[in-house]
Amino acid sequence: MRVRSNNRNQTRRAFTLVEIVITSVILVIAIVPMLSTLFEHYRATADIVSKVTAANYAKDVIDYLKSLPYEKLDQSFNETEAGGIESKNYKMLPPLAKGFLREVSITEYNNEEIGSGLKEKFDYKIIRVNVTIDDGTGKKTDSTKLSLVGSVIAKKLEKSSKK
Amino acid sequence: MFSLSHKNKKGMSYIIAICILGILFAAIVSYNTILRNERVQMYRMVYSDNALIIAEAAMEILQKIIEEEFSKTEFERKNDLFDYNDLIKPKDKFETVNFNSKKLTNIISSSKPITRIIDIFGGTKYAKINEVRVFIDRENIRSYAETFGPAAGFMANSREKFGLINYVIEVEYFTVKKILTVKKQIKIINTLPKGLRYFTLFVKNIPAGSDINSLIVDEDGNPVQGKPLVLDNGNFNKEASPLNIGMVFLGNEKPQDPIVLRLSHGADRTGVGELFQLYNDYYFDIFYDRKFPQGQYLIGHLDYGLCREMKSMTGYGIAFQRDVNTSILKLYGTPSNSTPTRIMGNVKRAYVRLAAYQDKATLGMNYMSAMPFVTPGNFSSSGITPIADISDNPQPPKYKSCAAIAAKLFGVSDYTQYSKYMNQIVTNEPYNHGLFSEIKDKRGMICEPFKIPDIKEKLYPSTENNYGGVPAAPADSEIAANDLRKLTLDEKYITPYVSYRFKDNADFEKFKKLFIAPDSSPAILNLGLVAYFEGDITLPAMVIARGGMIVCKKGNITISGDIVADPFQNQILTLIALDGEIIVNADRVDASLVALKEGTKFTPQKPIQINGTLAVNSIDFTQLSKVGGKLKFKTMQTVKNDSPFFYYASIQPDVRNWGSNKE
Repeated sequence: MRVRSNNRNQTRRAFTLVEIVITSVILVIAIVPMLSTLFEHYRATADIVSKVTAANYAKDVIDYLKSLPYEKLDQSFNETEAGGIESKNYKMLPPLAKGFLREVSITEYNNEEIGSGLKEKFDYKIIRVNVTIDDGTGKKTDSTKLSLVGSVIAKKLEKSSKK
Repeated sequence: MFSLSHKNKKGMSYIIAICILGILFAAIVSYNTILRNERVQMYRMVYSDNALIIAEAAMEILQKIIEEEFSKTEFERKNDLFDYNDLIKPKDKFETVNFNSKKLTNIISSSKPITRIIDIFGGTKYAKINEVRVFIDRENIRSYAETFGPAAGFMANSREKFGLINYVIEVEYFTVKKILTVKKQIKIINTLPKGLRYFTLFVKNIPAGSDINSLIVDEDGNPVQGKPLVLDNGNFNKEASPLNIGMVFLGNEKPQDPIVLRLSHGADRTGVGELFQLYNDYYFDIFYDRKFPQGQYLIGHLDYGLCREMKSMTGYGIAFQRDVNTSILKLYGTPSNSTPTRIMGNVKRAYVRLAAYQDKATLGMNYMSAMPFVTPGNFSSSGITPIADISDNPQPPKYKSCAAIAAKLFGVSDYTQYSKYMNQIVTNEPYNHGLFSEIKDKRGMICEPFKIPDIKEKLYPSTENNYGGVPAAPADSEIAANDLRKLTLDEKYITPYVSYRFKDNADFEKFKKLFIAPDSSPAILNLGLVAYFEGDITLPAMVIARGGMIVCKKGNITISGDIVADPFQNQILTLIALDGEIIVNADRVDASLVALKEGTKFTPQKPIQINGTLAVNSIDFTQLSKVGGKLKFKTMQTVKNDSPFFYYASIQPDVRNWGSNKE
């Protein structure tokens, strides 16, 4: 069976300019937000990858410092270290990649209660490591919020004098 | 039929375009979803890591709290977070011990270090401690004997056990939950090493040339030169089993140079000696004359170890060489309550030797042979040249075994008993008795054996010990391997059980305030735990109402006055100098004294009277022979004693070999 056009005389017409423009506008309106979302997701993913990397850099230091004897752990380990530059205290750790900035600070607390309601007191140190991504513009990314790492190392207990 | 108008074609184009757009949209959405999921996962990772960091910090605090709780091993055993009495129950009665979770969660959550850490992570809005749990699961509890099998017959003590203490912390960070579990080994033991609880006298190292046989007595057994150190095992281990006799350990410098020890059984003819039990009946057969009217057999003894009464036993036709008794060790018991003693170490003994002599006609001077049981070895006489039984057939003599003659002399019944007794001892001769006390469990626990550098040495002692004996893990194999000369007590061993620490004698007032009854004279000691001094400590005259342990880390323990146990309390005090000496300036000390540090030497200045154990690196025997003394074992400290207050629990500080499960 043959199929014929109902109107043989009618000439074939392409899309009109208006149609193309309208279609393009619709496409742009539809695609741009999608691409924008895509880009946003991509950027967010890249950001979290940075955060994971930053957290790993922080953990490296934490693990190393926690392995040291309590007495050795002092403020000489405090350091602000920029990626790509040799570290003073942490040469043995995986080197910090360019663009990262690692700040280590150790704070000591003395003679504090080990827990509420308990008589025993003790000394402890909190290691705080802050890794940020320095893009050279002086602007730090959101990663800082998640790359903060703190840890506690406790020292001997000082017993209460009362039995 | 299927022809399409141009308009329709255009419509189709729109549809296709929309479809493409839709597909594109779907692809982008899908991709975004993937990215989002990936991101969520990564966030979860970061949150989880942060939760773990909080949990690790909380774990550090939690372990300190629990260790502190464990150190409250006072006599009253007042613990806030668990019932200490649950821990020291025998293994078969042990139930899972759950610490107060609610209280622990509150303590940890409000602990300052933890609140500080949580603040770093954004405060309690984002991070919180959900739950803290600590428990000791009964399924993991093993008694030493159960784990390693019956240890050479030594009585298993079901209170001495080990297991795992589980710490569990659940932390929530941005809705991500993290559970951190750490398991540590817990030991519940009598803090005095098992090895030392067997010994009346334990000397690790006797320098070559030391005259340990410096006591000279006359033929009546009276000292003519020097003074003896008399060992009295008291009621300790009065059963006939060789596993239950009192013990002396004499270590020498070099295994190849054995110590020669000449023994006597004391002035009392019913006394007993090492590997030699002199019962009345064996020597004193009132029917002897009736049984042997011709007096064919005589019993004499040679060498060392005279029983002075035997001299007067003319009815027996006793003949003996008038050798002097030369032994500084006087081991004795009473007729009704004999206390046999084994001397361990690479010691060559000069035993009392029985010998058979001919009849009275020759004045008993016709020596025939030694009796078989002079030889260390099985008492059965196979392989030993028999001696002649001249009564049966003098010409030619008919040979009978020593055992047969001995049986005839003693009577079958007595001889059987005696041979049984001797066999028990002689066949267990190697000094390194298996006081098996394996510490690490390589089966049920999560111990990682490859991390223990000397695991092989600990688990599989060499086929021969330094004395060539049969391998068996000795007491406290963790620290002594298979050689008791290496038995040490160090800070690592003791400190987990320490409850109170003091600087040195300058802190004695603090110690006094805590543990000595106010205004008591002499001072009444109520210790009941392990107290620890960093430096020298001088102890005044005291009455022990509650025993325990005083440990001196570096320095000497000086006993300046009599330390007497309250007879109504019957407690044991143990004094341990880890790196120094114990100086006794008192007439009487009711305590176990332990000073095993290499290079130290116990030097008594006055006659010693110690009711307990003397375990020292070395003794100045010259000085000892001048002053003499008496050591009396106190039954209370035996391994058999399962009085709960002897047992202290500790969480082992060495965590390197133990894994932690991070879920």
